[in-house]
Amino acid sequence: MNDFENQLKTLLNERVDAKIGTREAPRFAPAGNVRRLDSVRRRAPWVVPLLAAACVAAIVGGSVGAAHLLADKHHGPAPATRVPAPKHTPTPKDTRTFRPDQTGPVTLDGATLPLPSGWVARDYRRYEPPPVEGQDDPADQGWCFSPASTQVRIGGCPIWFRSYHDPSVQHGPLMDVDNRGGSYGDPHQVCIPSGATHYDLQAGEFPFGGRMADYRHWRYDCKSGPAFVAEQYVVATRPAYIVFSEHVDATVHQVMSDLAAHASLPPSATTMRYEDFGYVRHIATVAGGVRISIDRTVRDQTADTDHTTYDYVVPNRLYAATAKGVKVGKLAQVETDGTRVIMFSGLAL
Amino acid sequence: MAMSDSYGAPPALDFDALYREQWRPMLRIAVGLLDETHLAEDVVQDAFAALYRRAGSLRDSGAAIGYLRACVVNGTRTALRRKIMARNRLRPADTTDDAAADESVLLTAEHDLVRAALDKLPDRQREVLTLRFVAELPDDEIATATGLSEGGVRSASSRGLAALRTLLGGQL
Repeated sequence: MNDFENQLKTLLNERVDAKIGTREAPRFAPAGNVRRLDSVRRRAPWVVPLLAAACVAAIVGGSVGAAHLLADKHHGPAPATRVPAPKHTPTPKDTRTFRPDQTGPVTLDGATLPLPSGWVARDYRRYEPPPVEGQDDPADQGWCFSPASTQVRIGGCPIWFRSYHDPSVQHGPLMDVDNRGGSYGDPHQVCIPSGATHYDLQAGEFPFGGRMADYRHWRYDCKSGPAFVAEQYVVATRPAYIVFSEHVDATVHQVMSDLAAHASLPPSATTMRYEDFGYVRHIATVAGGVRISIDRTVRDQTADTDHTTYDYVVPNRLYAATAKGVKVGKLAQVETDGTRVIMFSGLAL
Repeated sequence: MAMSDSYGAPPALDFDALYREQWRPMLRIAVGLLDETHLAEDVVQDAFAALYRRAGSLRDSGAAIGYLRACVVNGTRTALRRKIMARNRLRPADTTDDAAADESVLLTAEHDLVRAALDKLPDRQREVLTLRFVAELPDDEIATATGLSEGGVRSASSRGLAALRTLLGGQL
């Protein structure tokens, strides 16, 4: 580590320590009667949706090629002093009610999907643990497609399907086509803690149910245990859909390919995607805002052979607030509600 | 139909001990990424809540810390993006952080310069540098926390440092 890095490290750690000060861990009571976090009361309104899902699904990074993820042996710095013991009570009995199973060609949120013979669409929440105290249990988390004979196990859904709702209306999850799951949720357990010996990402845009979808296929060869293989299609314009699997084998891959080929989605209501990410190729002032032309790219993937650009008009007020540093050739990301840009940010590279 | 399913019996996870030991290290990572303490606390609590919910499906109890770190890193990504969106909807007063009492005394213009430069980096580079400098994690553990390859970690680190040198322009 050179002098510059040492100085960075010192300044960053001093800032973190100053901000944390003498804070102590709040009581954690996920299943008890105590609010699980005192700061719930002081959460800004826009933080509330974060309670619905604990974490963002990991955005897969790295260019296509070999990767090495290793074991988790680190146990972090020394624990804080005088941390009150958290209240740990057993998970309460699951009293949720679920939507009935559906078989045959199913029509879900306007999409008609030809399930294979013997497969069933189940309420996806069956595959999720019940929410803990203070967390919402969204009524609609989509559907799980699986063989009817397969026993439901938490985390074991073979294929997950859901429509994506307008975030500006329902404060729903932010779309990210490079995220496993298409938006956020608890991260998937990828070769933790053994690490991976190889990582491969394939990406492209392919038809799904008559619409164009962003396709991603991830493979992590783990040092121990089976490989982690995930696959998804995200139809990113309204009405938007996500089909995802983190249990891809030959059968699941074939079912997903068949769904892509034979499903029928309603036509796009708008041409604007819910999110986009790429290199800024052109910036122009237009009536009411600034038009940004984005050359779409896969996050962290260096190869970018398709230089088609997509235009977004960023309203003046939004541009002034968020576009500092945006330049032609730099990366930028856009969030929309399907008809207008609601978030824009430029990045330094 | 053959369907792989590697989920076994729930591990014996000492959640209480883990919470006591890891709350502060996780908070340091979150504050390093978000630069807002209360928001960081929320992300950390949500990470522990996620772990609590998922403990029964963890493939290995040893995965807990790695999973927590991944939760925190992922949680900060959404929090940052929502923060940017919120800035356009809420009054500035709604998004201010409740800083530690002595924060203004301890922090200087140099700290602000570095923070501002760090905020201009792409997510992955900011995460890698924060995990390296604040959490002092080696490349393999940064890779696990971020979902990057080790090569990706090294690349993000190198590019991030180069960008910081440019952005700071010899001001340190």
